[in-house]
Amino acid sequence: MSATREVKLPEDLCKKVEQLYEKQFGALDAFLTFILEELACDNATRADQAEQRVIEERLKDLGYI
Amino acid sequence: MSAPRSLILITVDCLRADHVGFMGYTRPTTPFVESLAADSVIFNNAIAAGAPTYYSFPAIMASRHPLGMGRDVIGLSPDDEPTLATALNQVGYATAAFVAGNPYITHRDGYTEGLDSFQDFLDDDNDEYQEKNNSSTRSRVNQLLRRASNSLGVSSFYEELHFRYSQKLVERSPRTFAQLRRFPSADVIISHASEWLEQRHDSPFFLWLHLMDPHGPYYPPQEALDLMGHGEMTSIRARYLNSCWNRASLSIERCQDIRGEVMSLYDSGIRWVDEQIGALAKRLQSLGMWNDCVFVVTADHGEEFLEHGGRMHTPPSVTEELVHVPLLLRVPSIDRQRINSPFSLLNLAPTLLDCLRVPVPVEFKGRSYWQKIRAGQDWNDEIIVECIAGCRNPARKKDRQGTRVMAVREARYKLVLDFSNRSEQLFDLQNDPEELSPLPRGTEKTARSRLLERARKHIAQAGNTEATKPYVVLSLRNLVAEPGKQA
Repeated sequence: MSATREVKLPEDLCKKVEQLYEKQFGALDAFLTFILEELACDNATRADQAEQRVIEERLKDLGYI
Repeated sequence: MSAPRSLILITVDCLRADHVGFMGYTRPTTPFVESLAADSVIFNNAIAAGAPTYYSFPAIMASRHPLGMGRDVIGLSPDDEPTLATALNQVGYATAAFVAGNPYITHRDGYTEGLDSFQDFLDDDNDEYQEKNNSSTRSRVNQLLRRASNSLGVSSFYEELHFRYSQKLVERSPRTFAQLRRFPSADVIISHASEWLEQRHDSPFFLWLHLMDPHGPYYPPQEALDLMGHGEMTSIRARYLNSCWNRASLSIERCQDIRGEVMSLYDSGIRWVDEQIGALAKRLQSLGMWNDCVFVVTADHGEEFLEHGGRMHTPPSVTEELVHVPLLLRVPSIDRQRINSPFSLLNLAPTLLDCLRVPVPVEFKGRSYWQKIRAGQDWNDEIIVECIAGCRNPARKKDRQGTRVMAVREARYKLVLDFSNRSEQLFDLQNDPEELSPLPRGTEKTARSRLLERARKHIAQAGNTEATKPYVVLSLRNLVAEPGKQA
């Protein structure tokens, strides 16, 4: 497991989130880790870049770049 | 005559351009709207920015490309994304929308922003077609038998048997068209809209109606069937046709056999919409509002009837039958015009705002063509159409994160790029309007490279929107709502 960092969050907000999402996600840490992992994931960027490369290859084939 | 002040926008789900009278369709689907065409601006090449609904409406309402907020998000970002409604509401327009039960145009999807009144009819009691308790038992038995037939290698035989058995059950307890219909019909929407209009006095207003009558399963009112000369169609026959048409495993030959009848149901749905638009226009005239409003009729996307092997409108695609939509713009005191230049629905909201002399939000990605329209000028700007291949259910992340299918279209040429198989097809729409014969790969290099370059530029720009607040808001909304999600 990688190094962790402590953050401070308002207690009432934490309680509210736990109430809403505990059943689905378990502990608050797990829920927040999930959210941050998803937001940090760059699958969409990589897909966009891959598509751009496909077009660039084709433009090279045609002699335009 | 002073400039019109109010705006009425009617979007019709699944309405193909080539099934509308003023676009040359020979069946009488739209006699009223055709009569309006005599005094309106007609766009011969209006193109949706994406299909189906969840890929089309960000362009219509927020002048944003379907994947412009990243491919992983669906809907609008309510606090950060200006729309046609917010732009009008901010300058004092009374605003309302009545949406005939489309699950992708909701408050949750961000479409209520800027609307004083919004009704989506999704909680309405359309449950008459829900079967009684014994259907869940039948469903369980069916699942068991289906699994057994799969393991025995006779699944297609079992499926046909089950289908015929289900049809026999249906015949024993027939339902009416009204009971089978999954959405409120256009007369319901027009009735609510009329009540709202009657409360408007002097303020300018924006009224948006989204009608679903041409959307499958196709169960038009009997009156519409009669008007179209299909009065002999029974609800039992219609239910059989819809059940067949919806079967994924139905052979092409069997689909072709019933295509004509299915299309008759679809056309009758369009005719009902036309009748109700006529009723609305009459209402506006009696309230003295008709010559004080801009009246727009268009569609979010079209519908497939096997032109390229597909039915209805999923999985998402960019074929002409799906993205070529009708667009009629009636502006009192503006003469009739036919515009052949390609026009993306991305540009509809800015054009309408410009027409009403309301400031266009800088965030809009489209631009106004109103001055060009007034001046009778042509243009040939490229249009981008895009969606995610295979995204049948946008609530599923796996579906949303698929590969892109896109088209770059201009007046004559249309380049279709499918990144799932790295295919590239260039069509000459002048000689091949049905997109049946892609040009050989080494031909039309100049047009091909121009459109490829446009596609490259578009994708490069798409990547710049991530890490913005609207992206985070939409991502979170889509994330946490994922069905069955676990950490």
